[in-house]
Amino acid sequence: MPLNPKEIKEKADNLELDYHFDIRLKRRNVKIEDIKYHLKNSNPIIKESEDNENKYKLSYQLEKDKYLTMYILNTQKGLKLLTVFIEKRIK
Amino acid sequence: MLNHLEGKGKIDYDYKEDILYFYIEKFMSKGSHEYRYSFDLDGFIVDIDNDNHVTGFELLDASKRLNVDKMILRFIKAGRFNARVKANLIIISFALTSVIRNKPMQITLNAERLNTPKLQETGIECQITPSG
Repeated sequence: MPLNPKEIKEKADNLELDYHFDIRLKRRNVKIEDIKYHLKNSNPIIKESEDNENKYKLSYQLEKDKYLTMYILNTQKGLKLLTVFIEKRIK
Repeated sequence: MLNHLEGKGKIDYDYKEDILYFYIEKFMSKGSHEYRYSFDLDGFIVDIDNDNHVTGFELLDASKRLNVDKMILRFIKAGRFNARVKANLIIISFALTSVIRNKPMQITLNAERLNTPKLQETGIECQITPSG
């Protein structure tokens, strides 16, 4: 069943990150508090993965052409963050 | 004229989720090279700095895309990275050496994407060592 914004908000407190995340957050100047804030309070553009039914791309608009984008896994326990970055989209 | 840089980079491989992340840790020239944003080119995420240089990339489903066993990516020991932005193309290539049971194995990637972000013409090359 596709992930919906309501489920994302409910699972935001159970966000799983492993040690690989330290370098990504540091390098890309993204704070974990900002990720959780958007997960809890904003509605993302949700894109489903073509080869993994539990993998999703979530994009939260920050500016006209910039998004806080993350790839996540939707698990029974919560959400596992795979990667996060500031995405610039090209028209 | 091509704005060319050299640096030293690191590779981080998330074995469980099969994600390969490369980033330039140290530049051989002055400049802040602060992260600005990324482009997501179908799961090939390219990091750009404030001078429009490619300073890293992340590859989702790395073993599938590179057509190698995950164990090979787990034991990367060294390599070289090269990124070149031309008027119409972003060209990223790397050659990595992995060692399993004392047997060295080579992995190469040559990826070209259209320069739809219209990045300035730049070039960067660096040596790679594993992170951690």
